[in-house]
Amino acid sequence: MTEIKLEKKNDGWAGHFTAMAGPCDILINSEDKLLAHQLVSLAKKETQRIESKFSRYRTDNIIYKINNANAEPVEVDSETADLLNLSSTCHVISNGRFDITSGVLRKAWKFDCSENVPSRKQVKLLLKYIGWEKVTWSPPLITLPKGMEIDLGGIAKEYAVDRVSEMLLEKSNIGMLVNFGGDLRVVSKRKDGSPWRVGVEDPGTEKRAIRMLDIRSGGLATSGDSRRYLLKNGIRYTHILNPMTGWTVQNAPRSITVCAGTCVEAGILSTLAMLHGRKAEQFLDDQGVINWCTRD
Amino acid sequence: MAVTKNRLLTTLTSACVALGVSSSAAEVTEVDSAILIYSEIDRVSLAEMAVSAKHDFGNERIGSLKLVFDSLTGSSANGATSANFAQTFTSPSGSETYTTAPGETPLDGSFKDTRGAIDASYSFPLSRLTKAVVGSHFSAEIDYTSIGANSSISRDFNKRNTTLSLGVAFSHDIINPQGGRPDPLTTMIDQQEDDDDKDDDNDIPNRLPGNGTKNAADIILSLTQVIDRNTISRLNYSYGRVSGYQNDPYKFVSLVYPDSINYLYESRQDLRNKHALFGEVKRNISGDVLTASYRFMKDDWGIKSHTIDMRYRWQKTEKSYFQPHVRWYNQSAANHFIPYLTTDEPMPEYASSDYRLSDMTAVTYGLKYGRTLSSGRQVSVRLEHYKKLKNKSPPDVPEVMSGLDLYPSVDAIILQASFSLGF
Repeated sequence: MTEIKLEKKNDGWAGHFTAMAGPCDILINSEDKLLAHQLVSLAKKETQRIESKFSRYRTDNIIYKINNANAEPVEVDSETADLLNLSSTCHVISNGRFDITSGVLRKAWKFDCSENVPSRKQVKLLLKYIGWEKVTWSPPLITLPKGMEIDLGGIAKEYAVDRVSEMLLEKSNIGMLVNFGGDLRVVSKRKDGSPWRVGVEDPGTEKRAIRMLDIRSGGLATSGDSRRYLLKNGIRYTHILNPMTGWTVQNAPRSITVCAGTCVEAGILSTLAMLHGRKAEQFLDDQGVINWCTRD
Repeated sequence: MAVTKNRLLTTLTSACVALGVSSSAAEVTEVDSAILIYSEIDRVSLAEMAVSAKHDFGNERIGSLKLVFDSLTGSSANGATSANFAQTFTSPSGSETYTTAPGETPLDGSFKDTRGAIDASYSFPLSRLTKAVVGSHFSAEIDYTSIGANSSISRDFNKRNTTLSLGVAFSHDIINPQGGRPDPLTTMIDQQEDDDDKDDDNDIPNRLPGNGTKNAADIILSLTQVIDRNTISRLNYSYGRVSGYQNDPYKFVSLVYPDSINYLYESRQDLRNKHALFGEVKRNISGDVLTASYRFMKDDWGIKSHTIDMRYRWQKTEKSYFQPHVRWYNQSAANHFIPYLTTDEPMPEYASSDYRLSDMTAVTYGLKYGRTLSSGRQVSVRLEHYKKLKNKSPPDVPEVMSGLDLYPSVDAIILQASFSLGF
């Protein structure tokens, strides 16, 4: 269990804890330390609930149950159903590029910065276990063909940011911001109406660069990870995989940061943009969203 | 099951609403404020307060507004040459006089002005790769009013690695010095004969009628090119044309007699065409940024100038940096620049002794320190020293000025503090 750390800021408190494999920060525009502690505790509890519920590393949750049902239908609760509905919608609007069944590809791809690029055959063998269209989803029942599995890791963190934001908004009307390692969401405005200033790491660059942003409302998410790739014969294989080919997306930006109404939207847009490779910028511009793309 | 582009976001947003998370439009704002104190050692000091605000309306539409108030006090070289005797000058309004000791550079100590300026601009996309900016400015001080507008259009090419832009700017200035505009190359009020009624502004002789006006138009063509992921370069060409009243009503030219000096109001040509070429390279060196630029300017007043500017932003820690800065500037004199006039030569049509039009070399060096506070706000302090290097005094100096430093060096210290207000 990680501890909560409260740090005094000149306009209130910042609460830190670790969850979902990274730092989680809650900024609170109030001098009330007790209240800050309460709010951060709630945020941490909610984050851990979401993490344990949707992690694919556990054997006691709904994801494990779905993935190990042996082609039998599994009934899911309404929250899981909401996330499956969203995943299904994203699969449609991305013409198959967004696919929560693509996780099995990690059996072939291990992004450890080595040269271990899988063989075509290895990848091809896995492709038959990929494709949301092969899944029978009739809420609240989901049936996965044998050998297939789902992974909500691609949206769980952003979902947690939005969920925690919603929960904090119900608890208090003071200004707050939720920031889980750059995936963030403005809960509410600061007392004096000034924007939140956040430094968002641009992971596309080798030396850490921070992009300073003033955000008043909405959410923000970044895709791209300079530490997860394979390098062979001078070709860099990013960790972004195209579920339709089973291969990494070529010519994608090193990192994409997108601004949208919610953190989930921003996260999905940045992931979809990555999957558009060289046309990532065009894709985002077509959507009319504020974005920053970093290329080599 | 193809989904059209515009519907994608709508579909996604409604899918998120179904998740139970409410969406609100993203909004981004930046605010900065700066205080600048410019102190030309023993001469002019300038305190500047600037407030700028930027607002992102979304969809790449950005508006910005900047308000500046500054105040100049102190002394400014009036153009007259130093002499071996005390010299007395009268301000253009005729109401103030000041005296310069023997051997000293004559400085106008009545120099005092307050300026207010407002700048507004708005940029918006015309298409996916084309962006337009429109802007305007207005500034006013006691004796000077300027109003202007500008517009530019830029387009990205070559996967956004190349940006080409074309801009135009116009401005209209009104110059209305206290006491009226002096008639060029006539004698300073106090030295005019039969001048026993100088309290009455309407009666000051040797004045030009009405206000002076000046119009300026500029065209700027700019090419920005990404060279590699750490290097970006920019090349600008600009052409500017200024027409109208370009004299500085507070500057004199000394007319040197064997035993005395007469002070004449300066006279500049009323048309000036400038061409400038500017090149800049910025390179990221493992987190630090080196910026080097060169500018060449040539105008039809005969001035050719070269500017070399280098700065290195040394990122000391994640939150603080030091930026040393060196700038070297050299220019040739304007055709009508003359340190002083003598009675041996015929009176020229144009003459100015303003050191800014002289043959000169100046060096600026400074250091800037910036820091991001734990609140995320940024503060920076810049300290710079500007030094105009000495020119050689001309040979055959008339008796009244012999042994004097006719081209004194100019030193200025600039201290600027800026901080984000964050409102």
